[in-house]
This record gives sequence, C-alpha cells and structure tokens, in this order.
Amino acid sequence: MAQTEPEPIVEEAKDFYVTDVDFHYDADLADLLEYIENEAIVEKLTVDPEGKGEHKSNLPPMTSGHGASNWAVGADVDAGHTQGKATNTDDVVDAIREMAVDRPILTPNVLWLVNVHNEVVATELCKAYNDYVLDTGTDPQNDIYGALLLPQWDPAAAVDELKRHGKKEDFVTAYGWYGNFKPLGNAEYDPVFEKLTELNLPLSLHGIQYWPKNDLLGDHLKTFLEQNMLTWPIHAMMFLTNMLMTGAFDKYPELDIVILEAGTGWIPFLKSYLDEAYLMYPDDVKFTRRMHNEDQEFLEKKPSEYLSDNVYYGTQPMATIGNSRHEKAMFEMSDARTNFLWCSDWPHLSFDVPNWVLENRALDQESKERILNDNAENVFRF
Amino acid sequence: MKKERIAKVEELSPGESLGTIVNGLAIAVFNVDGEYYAIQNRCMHKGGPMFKGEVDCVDGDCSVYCPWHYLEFDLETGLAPINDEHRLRTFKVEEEDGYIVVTV
Repeated sequence: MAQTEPEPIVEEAKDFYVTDVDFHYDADLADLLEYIENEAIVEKLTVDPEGKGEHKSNLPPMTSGHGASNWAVGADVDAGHTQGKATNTDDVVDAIREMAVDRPILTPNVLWLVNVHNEVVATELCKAYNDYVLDTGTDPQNDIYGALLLPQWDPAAAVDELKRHGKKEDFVTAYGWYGNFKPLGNAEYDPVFEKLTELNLPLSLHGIQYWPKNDLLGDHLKTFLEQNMLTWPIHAMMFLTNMLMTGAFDKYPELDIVILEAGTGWIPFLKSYLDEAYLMYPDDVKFTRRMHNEDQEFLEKKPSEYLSDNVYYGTQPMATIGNSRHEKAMFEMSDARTNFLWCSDWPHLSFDVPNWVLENRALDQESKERILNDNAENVFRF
Repeated sequence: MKKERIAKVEELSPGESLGTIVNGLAIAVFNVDGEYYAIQNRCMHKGGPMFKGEVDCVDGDCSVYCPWHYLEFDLETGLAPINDEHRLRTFKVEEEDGYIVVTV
C-alpha cells in the first residue's frame, strides 16, 4: 500500500522556532459591544430585528473597498477567512499548529475600523477590541501575544490607549494602518511616538482596504489587484517616506516601524530612489512642521539609512523570484537578514506558510533563523 | 509504469479525498460521485495540499480549488483555466480487486 501523505509544511520547520508577526484575530461587532460602556453607542450599533431598511444595518458609516477581494477570487469563498476564523485562544492554537508556528502576534481582523467616519464610535470600538483580545486571545504564558490597536485618527486617544494598556506583557507592539488617510509624519503624532519609545514598543502598520473614490484615478480602478495589491506597497512607501522626510526618525531615533502585508520587492527601489532624489531636492525638508520646530535644516542621515535602521518588513505576501541568484541579490539589497520578519496573514486568502523560507536556496541557516524568529525577537517587546 | 494500491474501495467514499505518496510522488485522489481522479498533490503555486481542496463540477467537468490560494485545476486534465502554462500532473486511477489503484 502507498505511503500516507505528509503534512504540507516542510519537515525542517520542526528544527526552527517560528514567530508569526501578523496572525489575524477576529472580532464580530457583537463581540466588541460587550466591551463598550457607553450605552448610546451600544444601542446605536446593536441590530434591531424589527428595523427597516438602513436601520437594520448596525455598522457605522464608512468608506471602504471591503468585499472587493471576494469579487476577485475564482471560487465562492470569503477571502478574509479562507483558512478559518480565530476568536479564542483554542482557535489560535489549532491554527498555528497547522502552520508550524510557535509564537503568534495576534493582529486585529477588524480592517474596516479605520474607515469608520465617526471617530468617537471608531475609538470606542478600537478600545473594545483591545479589551476583547486581552480577555479572549492573548496568553503570554503560552507564547500567544497581541498587538495593541491604536485609534490613529485621534493622536490624543492613541496616547491614552498606550497609557491604558501599553505596559501589559500581552502586547508586544502597537498597531495601526497605512492607507489613504492622514500619514503619520504629521507632527501631531509626536506624543504617540514619544510614548511608544518610552514603552519600548514598535509600531506595526498594516495595509487597509480602501477604494479611492472621487478622484479620477480611483474612480477608474476596476480590479482588486489595482485597488489593493498594488496600492498597499505604494501606500506603505508613502507613509514611510512621509515619516522620514518630516524628521520623525531624527526626533525619535529609537522608533521602530514594522510594515505588514506590503510585500518586499519595493524596498531596494525605495532606498536608491529616495537617496538619489534627496540629493537633488533637499531644500523643502526644513519647512515641514517637525523639522521647522526642531530648527533642523537637513535630515541627519540618507533616506535609505532610516529604511534600514528604523523599519522592519513583514514578508507576506512573498513573491518569490524563482531564480536563486536574483533572489539572493534582492535579499541583500533589502536587508532581509536583519530586517525581514516572517508572517502568515492567516486566515486571509493571500496567506503564506513558512515553506518559502525553509526551502529557500538563497538563504543560509542563520538568515532563516533570523527571518523566522530572531529578528522579531529583536524588534518586538517579548 | 507502476501500479500501486492506495486504499481499499470502502476507504474512499463519494465526496471524499486523500493524499498519498507513490514512488516519491505526492498524489491527491478524489472520489467524485463514484468517479475517481488522481492529480499531483502539490499546488504549483505555493505547494498547497490539493487533496484538501474543494471540488466543483459543472456539466460533468470537475475542478478542484487549492485550499491555500484557490487556484483552480481541471481534475481530468490538470490544467488551470487561468493559464495554459499552469498545470498539475494527472494520473490514471481505477478500481481493481476491491482496491483503488493509481498508475505512475
């Protein structure tokens, strides 16, 4: 009789300790309502079964491209949950076991939240998520950690949330989103960066579904690949460039940013492109608010140096090149050995398993150990 | 060519599938309403386990979707409708003396 089929995760996985820096934890709106004290908000967000028309909807108004991914998949699936749904610690343990992951960082699967237009309601939902994941998901004794979601639309509220939960060992990073909204180089975020560095917490930033509308380009994007898969690395580049050109990393040299779900192929491009451009166009940097306030004329370092010193890169979705020589060069140019952090993006359709690291001929043993765990050990506050 | 028994007939009911290894090849075997199909069990995209994929039949043509990233492959030909270059190997599979037998 034929042999039994082995597990799809390659066997070498058992020789490595694997940390997943982007494992999505789900929260239904009903779950979050239990953690909101304001009765008026709870009432507004609660479904009224007798309600008619739009009153049946309990989600607050928002702009988003949510659901676009489902249109783009050739099967009848919920692209946000193709691998399952984790809403408690047991769900997490089952899922990570299948992927040979030892230590997940639970990241919020409430990607619609940043698109909510009402910031009072959005902030309450954000706080409720943090209470919920603490209550039901994280378990540091068993190596299950969480990301503290910040209400980034309100810097003062973000600082309050850091004060409220930032010292808890459950949370090893703060969490927000890059996307088509206020970039974080804005000087009003300084108190947030101040608090993050004080707490020794990095800030993980994840892409967000947003379908730009009411601009000529956005109105004419037709596919998920344009709207999401391409705009995420572009938005990540814009957020990072905005932060470094406004002196955020000069004022907060200890601030670490982790970019999630933007892929990695753009890193060498951004480094060389910004270094070249900055040589030619350095003279408006001093007029940005933070640089002006600090009476600083030029950046202290080349743009590419901030991208190596202050930024770490979640690897998913990894688009492997299929040519070891080219891939090795890309890894070197991207500081993969020191700055790549393996992540799964479980349970989304575009999720990765650790196989691409374990089987990669362009990576030596130490690089594999670093990407699968050691770099995360250095960046996150375990 | 080598024939290999991979399971007893009663071990793979209609609607079920299994993953096996024959001569070092990972093979997914499906019983779709009494019709057997055998296809390469590693998706050519990122190595997803095809035997865990969902099967969908339209007018007698059956496809399997990789459970990891939902690439579709025809169970008979192994071809992906998205692109002729994307194809999984298929294998002859039949019932013989109470066993399901794959020819590799």
